[in-house]
Amino acid sequence: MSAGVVPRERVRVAAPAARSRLRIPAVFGALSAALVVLVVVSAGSGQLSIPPDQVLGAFARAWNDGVRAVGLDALAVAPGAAIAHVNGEATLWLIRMPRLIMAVLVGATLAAAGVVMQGVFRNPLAEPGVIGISSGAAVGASASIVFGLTFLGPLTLPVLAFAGGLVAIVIVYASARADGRTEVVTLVLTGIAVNAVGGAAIALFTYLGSTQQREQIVFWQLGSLNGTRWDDLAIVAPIAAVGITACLFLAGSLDLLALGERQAEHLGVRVERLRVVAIVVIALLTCAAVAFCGIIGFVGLVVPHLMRMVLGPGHRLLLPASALGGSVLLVAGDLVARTAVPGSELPIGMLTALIGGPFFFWLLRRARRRSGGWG
Amino acid sequence: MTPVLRARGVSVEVGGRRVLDGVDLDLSAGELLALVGPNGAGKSTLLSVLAGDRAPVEGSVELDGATLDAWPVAERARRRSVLTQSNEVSFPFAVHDVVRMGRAPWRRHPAASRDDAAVAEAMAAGEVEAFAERPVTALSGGERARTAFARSFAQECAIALLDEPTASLDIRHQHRVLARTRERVDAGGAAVVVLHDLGLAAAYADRIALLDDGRVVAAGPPREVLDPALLTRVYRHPIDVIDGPRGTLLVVVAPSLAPPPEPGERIA
Repeated sequence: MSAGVVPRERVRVAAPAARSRLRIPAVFGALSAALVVLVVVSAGSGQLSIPPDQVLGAFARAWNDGVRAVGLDALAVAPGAAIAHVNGEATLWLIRMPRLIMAVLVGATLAAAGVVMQGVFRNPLAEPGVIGISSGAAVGASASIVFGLTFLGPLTLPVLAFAGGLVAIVIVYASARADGRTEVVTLVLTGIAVNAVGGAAIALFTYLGSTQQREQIVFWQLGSLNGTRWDDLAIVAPIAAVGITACLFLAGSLDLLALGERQAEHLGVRVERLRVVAIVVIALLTCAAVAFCGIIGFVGLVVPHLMRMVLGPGHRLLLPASALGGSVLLVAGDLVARTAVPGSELPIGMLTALIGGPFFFWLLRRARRRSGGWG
Repeated sequence: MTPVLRARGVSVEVGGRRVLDGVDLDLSAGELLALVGPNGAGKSTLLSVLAGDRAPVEGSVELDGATLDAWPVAERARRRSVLTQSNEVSFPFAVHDVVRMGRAPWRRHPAASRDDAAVAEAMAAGEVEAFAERPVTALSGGERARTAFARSFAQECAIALLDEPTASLDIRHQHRVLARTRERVDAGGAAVVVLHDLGLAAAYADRIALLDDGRVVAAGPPREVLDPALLTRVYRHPIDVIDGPRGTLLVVVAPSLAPPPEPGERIA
């Protein structure tokens, strides 16, 4: 090897590393800033418009009330502008904030679940809808609507949706296992079968239901954050926090799993246990999101993919970045859904599918062109 | 000397067919053992049993004096590295990230202080520095194989199991991979290497185990096992072994030509 080669190699190796060191804080900074701006704008937008300074003022007063309640008066900030409209305070805190926080949580859980799903199936095309969780949840929800089940009060529908999704993913996982292992292709194909059965069950419920129930089923399947209450958040927030934290613990093992199942095991990963934990976490996160808000598709596909293009495939960065990106996407999507048509509201599931469908198609074409198969 | 890896009476069935039938194998420290044999002889199956990927229907494998199952997965990963035949990476990780994954078994372990040095040495061993920043999914087959070798080399285990590490490599890198493995073995390690090239096996192995139809038909030093009559029978093809320059063994294979046409037969 000639002496001249070595320094040139070093330069070429060093440059991208320096760029990516800047890129990581830039990405997280930009996403956080976008989320804050979107939350403030969205909180002030709607039929009753609240200027941003008044929204910030309301946030400041809520913050001060909070810190004073726990005796940390030193952390109090200057109270900003008061909300001018008489109904402004109520609109902000009873209608918009729960909905906004729900958008943040659901976006983060769906995107994080997408990352883990793609990692554990070793396929960038895996998505909650693909393996049948969403349709399982929809079956549970439709059943509660059509049979008028109320044994758990207002929680009946979310709990049944959760149960349906969990049953679906357990069936997929159990039937796709052979010799203690899970073949990816078998798993995805089993997901297709579960989707078909789920679709048939939903069709049956739609057929059995009254006109009003049919409408309810259809709108639940379209997905919406409308009507979110603080009580709902009290259920979703802890699940989201626990689930996303669990995802972060899986990050290192998911990196190794990219080498292959045998290869990961040779490097000390207990692959079967990783899969079981990942499946439970995915089910928990997806069902928590789907149960309250209906089917909001493709967030778990689009966001992780974009983040992978910017930050690379390492899960330690990909997971938090995707969670943040999912929140940004869903808050933005919800803002559009609420304000695009004056006096009316678009289903957010329709919006995400409108963006996600063509994106999925593009990914499919690219994956096939690159590898000549489904890798 | 007690073997570091010992297989006793290992039998494996795949789809009702015996692909391994009562195989005994010992690997001692300081020894490089080559597994050779025709397609379907059971070389890769034997290696996967030794690695713990596949449980034998009969027989047992002992690693450092205890059965494989007795070792936790993480502890196994610190005692033996495995290089499999195919190494598809499902996401576009950069080559240096993949090599660094070889250090995963040593996290939260005193040996983790060697991470950077081990990665640098492994990248040199596989000669992958030139494309260290490129995504592994964009590499050629040979470059991917070298990256996978570097990853298993970075694991720095006393025992290395390599399944056809030279299959897609050019001559320089075939020899480089085996020379680096040989150095590790000479420093007190041990290795089992599946090889198709009998010349490479003769040049680098201390012992060769010749497999045929799921059984070890011969095991011993290269000069003993590489017997022309035995090889010709096992490979069902005429093979000669002659002494080459500088004490090497040359395996000479007659080209397989079409048989001359029978008298009276018309050539289409």
